[in-house]
Formats: sequence, C-alpha cells, structure tokens
Amino acid sequence: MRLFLLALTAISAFAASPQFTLPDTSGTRHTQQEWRDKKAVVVFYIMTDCPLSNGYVPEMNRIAADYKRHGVAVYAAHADPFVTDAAVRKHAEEFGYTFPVLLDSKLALARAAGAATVPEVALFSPTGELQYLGRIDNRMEDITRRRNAATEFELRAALDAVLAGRPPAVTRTRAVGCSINLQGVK
Amino acid sequence: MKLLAFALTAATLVAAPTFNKDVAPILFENCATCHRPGEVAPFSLLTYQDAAKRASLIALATGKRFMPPWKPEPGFGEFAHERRLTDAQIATLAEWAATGAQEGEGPTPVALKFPQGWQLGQPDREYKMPVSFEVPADGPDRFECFVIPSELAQDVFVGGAEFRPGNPRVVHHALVMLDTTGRAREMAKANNGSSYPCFGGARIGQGGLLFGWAPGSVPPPVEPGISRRLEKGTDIVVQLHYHPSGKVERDQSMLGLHLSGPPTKGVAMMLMLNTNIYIPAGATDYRVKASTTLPQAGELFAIAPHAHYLGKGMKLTANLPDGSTKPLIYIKDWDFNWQGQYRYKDPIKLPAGTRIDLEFSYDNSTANPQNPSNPPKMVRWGEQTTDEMAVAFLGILLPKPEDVRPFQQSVQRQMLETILTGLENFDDLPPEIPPATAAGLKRAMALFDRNRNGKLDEDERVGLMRLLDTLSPR
Repeated sequence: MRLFLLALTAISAFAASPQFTLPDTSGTRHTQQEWRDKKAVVVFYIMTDCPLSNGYVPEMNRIAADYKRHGVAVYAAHADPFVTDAAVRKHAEEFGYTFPVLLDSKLALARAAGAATVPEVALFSPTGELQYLGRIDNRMEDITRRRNAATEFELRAALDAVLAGRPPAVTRTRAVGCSINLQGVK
Repeated sequence: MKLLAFALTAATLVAAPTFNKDVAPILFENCATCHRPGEVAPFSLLTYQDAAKRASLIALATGKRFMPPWKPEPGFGEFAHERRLTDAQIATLAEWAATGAQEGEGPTPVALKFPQGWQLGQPDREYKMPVSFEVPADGPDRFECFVIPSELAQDVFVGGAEFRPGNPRVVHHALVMLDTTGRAREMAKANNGSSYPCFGGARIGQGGLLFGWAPGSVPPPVEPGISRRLEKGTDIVVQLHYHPSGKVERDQSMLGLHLSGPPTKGVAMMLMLNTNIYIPAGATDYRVKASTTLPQAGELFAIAPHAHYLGKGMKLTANLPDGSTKPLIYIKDWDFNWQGQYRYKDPIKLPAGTRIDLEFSYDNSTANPQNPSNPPKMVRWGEQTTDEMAVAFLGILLPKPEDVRPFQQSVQRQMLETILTGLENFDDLPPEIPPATAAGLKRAMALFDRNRNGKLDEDERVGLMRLLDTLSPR
C-alpha cells in the first residue's frame, strides 16, 4: 500500500512537472526552462493526418496571436509515434503554424498532461502544473457533428482566468478527435 | 482463481480478433473505397500500421455508426451500395481495439485493386469547373455553384454521368444540375463570371437535377434506356459543398458525361416540398408534412431527402390504393453533412393513385449542436444556412418518355396546392417559383381573396386551383 502511494506520488510529481528537451520543426531545441519567465504555457496536441486537428490550426494561430503578447508561451506537440520527422516538417509548413511545433515521438508532453486525443490542449503554469486539459472550444459536438461556430471557449476562459490570477473555473473537458496511440511508443 | 484467470487469458488469446484474419476484410470491403491514398477520407486504412494506429478511433466511429456514413435506417427501403456494418462486424472492431489491435498470423491481406480515374470508364464528354476555386482555411462551409457551358452543337442524350472531386480534402458533396433558363449564367456573370455562392440551391427552378455525389458514393451505372436530353445551349450547374481544412485550399473538380441514344422510358424527377415552415425558437420537434398522389403508375428508383441544419428526422411513405403502405426511407438522425442520393436495390412499383407522404421533424433548440442561430430564432423556409427546407427528390420511371410531361404537371399542381394551403401571407411565396409566375400568382390570389384577410381560405383556394386547371395546357 505504501509502495503504491509512493508510486502514485512519483507519478503525479512527474505529471506536474514535465522535463523535456525537444526540437521543433526548425531544429531549435526547447526545454521546460523556457517556461519559467512566462505567465502561462499552452500546448496543443496535434497530428498531421487528423482532420479535426488540422481544422483547428487557424484558431490555434488566433489564440497564439491573442495571448502571446500577454506572456503566454504557445507550442504544438506532435502526438503520433508513427509519423516521420520529415512529414511533420512538411505539415507544419503547409498549415502555417505561427508557434513552435515540437517533434515528440516518445509523447513526453502528451504523457505529462495525460492527453489522449488530438486536438487537445493543455494549459500549464510556468512551473509545470497542469491547469486545464481538454478541448479548445465546443465547435465539435462529436467526430462528425460540427457547430457552425463554437459557443463555449474553455481554453480562452482558462487563459483569461490564469492571467487574472485566478484558477480556471473549468479544469477538464472532453476533447473530440483522433485518439493518441500510446501503444505504438517504443 | 489463478486457474480461472489463466483460462480467461487463454480464451482471450484464442478469441482475440486479428487484423490479418478478421479486421482487414471488414475495412477493405467497407472503408477502403474512401480510406486509401488520394481519396476523400483523411487517412488510409489499407495496411496493418495504418489501421492499428487508429484502432480505438475505428471502434468509436463504427460503434456510434458515424462511419461508414450511412443515414437511412434498415427496414425502410432497400438501397444499392448500402454501407452499413453488421452488429457482429462492429463488435469485432471493438474487440480488436480492446485486445491490443493485433496483427495476427498468416499472409498479409491485400486490398482489392481499386479502379483509378473514372469509375465508369472514359466519358464521352469531360468538363472541368471553369476556375480553380479558393477555399478559405477556416470559417463556415462554403457552397458554390459553378456554371459550365455545355458547348454542344446539337441536342444530346446523357445515359450516365460521373463526378470527380479535384481536391478530395475539401469537396464534401456535389449536385449536378441542368439549366436551360440562362439564370445561372446571369447570376455567375453578376458575381465573378464563372460561379456564385448558393447554399440552399442553385435558384434555377426545379427538375433540373441530373445527379448527386457524396464521399464514398458509387456512380449510378450508364443506363441508355433512361437517358436525359441535354439541349444545345444548356448550362451545366454544379453545386459544390466545401469543408474548410485548416489551410487555404484550391479545387477544380471534373464532370464526365456518357452519351447514348434517346430514352425508351420516361424519367420524372419528382419534387416534393412544403415551403410553409415556421419553426418557433426553442421548438424541439416541429413537424412539416407534404403529400403527392401519383397520377400514373411508376417505379421509384431513387430518393434524396433534403433539409438544413435544424432537420432531425425524415420519413417518406407510400400509401397504395389497396390500403397497404410501403416505407420509402427513414432517416432518424439527419446530418446535413452526410446527405445522400439513395438508389433502390430494386425499383419500387407504385400504382396510379399511390399517395406519397413526407414528414420531416426539426429541432430549433439549443440542444441541437448544429443550430446555426445562438440563441435560436424563429426559422422559415429559405435558402440561407439559417433558413430551413423540407424537400425530397424522387426519381420515378414511367413507361414512355411522353409520360413525363403530364406526370410533372400533375405533381407541380399538387405542390402549388400544398404551398397555397399553408401560406400565411401572399408575400411568402418561395423563391423557387419563378418571379414572373409569382407576380401573376400574387395578383390571382388577391383576386380570389374575397374576404380580404390576406390569405386564401379553403373555398378561395379551391376556386383559384380550378381556374389554374382550366388555364393549364393539357
């Protein structure tokens, strides 16, 4: 039992503080060190061939444009153990992400947050505590049913709260999209 | 206990479905038409790697019957090329995902060779959309009507037709129509010269629908006996529904026509509609009905119900003169994004005097995630995304080509009566009635509105219809 608790503590400690060194598609290395002087950190989990994830790129870019100037760091992390780095680079260029797209074939950042779906988003504190995990907004009702426009904007609401010094009112929502496959990780 | 656990594990090992033996045949047969490189689906399902990566998504999508996209309920009409998994197949896919998506023993299964290019063979005439159209990265779906001059030296007969999306990532469905009125050409000219936005329809009157295409649909075979006349000077109008993909995309789709001799049978594209739609904000189950009685025996070979984003359920039923009924189609959970044209496996014989009933239901509450208005507002008939429609196209075979004209006249008369019956205001005549006709009709209605209450009461309507009957050509 004690061992179990210890293990649990270890896991949550790990989950609360992602340690990583990952290259982005331009070759620049990123580590958790660069989060320290930020007010908040947004990580979008994406894949090259998930249409729901791709459809969100313009909104991800808008969120980055709206919040970067308030001291928020924004990243995308590839959550696909099967995809090649070359395909990821080509995809990032085609879709025009305006923030670093991290190559994360071991899914370190997805594990850190417990993300299971793309597109899904994690909001971390500068010290790596998970403050929000789930959908970007409620545009997708399910994998084939899309609203013409979202009516709930959970990520933006969580960001606004954190920037105002409050904890987010909603900390978990169900993301709709393609499953992240942890089985494929070697 | 240990023994039981062991037995369970052993049973699982024995029973666990594998890709090679159990899963590949299901995927190849039902999914790979679209889920293969270069086709409409976002990812391929041809190899173990492709499928294993998506195992849980496959289980989810098939379990909820999102995929394969097939909306008609079983037991209400039997359709050709039905893409519906059996409960057993769905269970196999779920179990495969739950047991670790194993590859299994035995030879690597190989998918059938899919025909490349035109599925019906090289067409006699190929048309390209007049321009490469730019689809924005984001925002609501786009609906664009492209106008293609047919450039014919003489009238021809079309025995078959096929649509090929230029950019499968964004083309979500296509309707191919014929315009002999020149109206589409004018609307395109007023817009950019080659196309115009058209969510609800092409606004070129009725009856011009040649065929429709949706992802995964199989082009109807070339059938010279039911060929359609394509008059010299006709414009081909293609309505394309585009889904933004997340980046700016371009599309230039293609259309192929197979020519043949004149038809030996008649083909009536019978339109059923009711334009009297007044859905209160918040209504969860608003109903719209329409009925048409066949003036002549015919064979129903295809059906395509249509509504917009508030549509919920749609049912069409044939009431035969002998008192029996035949279900024609039932869509329990309408999804605008997966509307289709359904062809019957065997045409349904309908005797003269058969009454076809249409009943659609609508959800105009916030519980409908696709409600385009938030908060909901009162919705009426119209072609905008925020309006609604209640329409069904029925393809009916008649014994002779000459039968089509009197058949259509009877059907259109009944449609007009339906429209006039529920009309609350003379100004509410739908845009589907050509402006010149509508103007004349409005004057006639004012004339027959003897008690001047601004609408036609039953006796007044009967009078007007009688007058129209004496005027209409026999």
